Amino acid sequence: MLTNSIQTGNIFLDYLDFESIAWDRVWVATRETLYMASISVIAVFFLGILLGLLLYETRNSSSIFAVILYKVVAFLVNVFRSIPFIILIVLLIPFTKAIVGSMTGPTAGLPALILSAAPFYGRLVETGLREVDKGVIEAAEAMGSTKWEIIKKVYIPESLPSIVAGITVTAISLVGYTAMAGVIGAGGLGNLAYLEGFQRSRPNVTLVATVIILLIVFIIQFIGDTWVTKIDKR
Amino acid sequence: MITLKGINKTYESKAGRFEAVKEVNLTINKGEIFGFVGYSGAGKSTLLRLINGLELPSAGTVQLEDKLLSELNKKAIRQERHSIGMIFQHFNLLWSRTVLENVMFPLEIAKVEKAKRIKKAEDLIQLVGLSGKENAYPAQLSGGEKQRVGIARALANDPKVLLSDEATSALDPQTTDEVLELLEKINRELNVTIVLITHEMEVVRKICNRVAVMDSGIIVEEGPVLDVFKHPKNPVTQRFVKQDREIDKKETQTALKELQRLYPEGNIVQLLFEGGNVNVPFITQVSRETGVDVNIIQGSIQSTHEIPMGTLVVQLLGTKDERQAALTLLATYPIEVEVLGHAD
Repeated sequence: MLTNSIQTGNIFLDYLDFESIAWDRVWVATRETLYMASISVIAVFFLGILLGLLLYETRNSSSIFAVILYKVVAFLVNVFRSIPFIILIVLLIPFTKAIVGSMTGPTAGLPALILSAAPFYGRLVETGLREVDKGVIEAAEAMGSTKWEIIKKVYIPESLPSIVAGITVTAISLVGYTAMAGVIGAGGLGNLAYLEGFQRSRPNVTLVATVIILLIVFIIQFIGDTWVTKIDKR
Repeated sequence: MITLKGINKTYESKAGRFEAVKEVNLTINKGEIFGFVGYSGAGKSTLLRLINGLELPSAGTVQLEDKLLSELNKKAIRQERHSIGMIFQHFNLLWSRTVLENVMFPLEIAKVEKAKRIKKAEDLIQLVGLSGKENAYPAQLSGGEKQRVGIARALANDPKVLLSDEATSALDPQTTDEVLELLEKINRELNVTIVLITHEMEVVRKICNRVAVMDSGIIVEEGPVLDVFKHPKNPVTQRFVKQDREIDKKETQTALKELQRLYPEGNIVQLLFEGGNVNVPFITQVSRETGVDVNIIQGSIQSTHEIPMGTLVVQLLGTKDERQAALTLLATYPIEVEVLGHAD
């Protein structure tokens, strides 16, 4: 009984023992996580919008070329977003090695992060584009707008709240994915929690890594929500 | 100005062929307000979109001034659209843009430089009576205000033609009148040709010079609004005109029966007159000269683009000879006389 309560106390103390934490390593790991998350979010943002536009534009087209393109893109999108991320990283190791030159470090995490999130985000963008009022598109056509002008001046601004809300959700899952990528050597807070926290049985490190990841997620959610509220004039 | 020759528009789908527009030949003159009226599915919407090339005819030609639309390539058609404004039933404004930015949209498309864009848009916002709302977003405006923005936007590139697709159908009667007045003002002051489609005969009556009535893709009747209103020939037109006069047949029948019961010797007559034409107190004159009593059942006045038009349903009471004399006398005035019912 007594031993038990001492042990329980020890567990709490283990979690809360912040003094023995190497804060400089925590800081390095945080920066790596932020690096992976921000680069992949930016890349996914642009790739996803391109994919979304491609999916949207080819979806209802009657030309045989567009139909094939749509089928191919839709198939790839479905495949990539269905593969569990941890498997996708392993699957992509040869590919990563070829383009990054290494399979460890934060940059090596990027290809898998981008490839898994871009199709997902592309789908969200496509859904957003489909919600744009067809009447507004017709009005723009009646004014003599080109396809590109309609994309730039109507589709994107009119679906911006969906685009922003979508990238917020995607960014949050990307932060989660960076942790998974960290486990197999990409660095960052996931890596720290796994190597320091799990393998050396230091729950205090795991706790700190968790809290920082939560903070990052909350900040992303806050920025995303504020941004959507600000731009949505409907 | 706009000449449609032998227009056919057929849609092919898995469900089969659908002929939206059949054998339409029509000329719309410069500076006039031309109305297409018809029930939904009559093909008027398609016809309107043939004029600015949003739809291309399956057969026939669309000519705008000296240009044949069918001979232009896509780029030239887009160029041509800069001089054709269009307004819509649901306004179709961009919610993401302010009033000013919405009006500037077509100017951006036409590559007008920024300072000029702002100046032009501000002038137009003033013209449509929305000064002070430049920085409001569409969501903050009422339906009537949104349509005013739509009109300002359609006028941005100084169009020769303004196409109106059921522009007042989503508005209440009061706002409809305001928007129609604005369209009339634009037609008068800027000399813009207006082509509108509607299912409300009231709209045609109020602002159009000429009208074409459409049914199942065919123009069944066409002519000056006043003529069509006074002598509707086709059953579809007659229905539209009757609806607009609001003499509900059923109600009139009930009223007729009731009056015929009360005054069995009566003649019930509908009088249709044009506002300025009758300068004499004809009812008093007829009553005095022939000795009939005139009982007014219903009266209404309707404004048209040119002159107001009045409808009066009266009952003539007297002997058969007196009534006959009254009818003969009535026919000498510049009014249309129609005997709706008589007891004899």
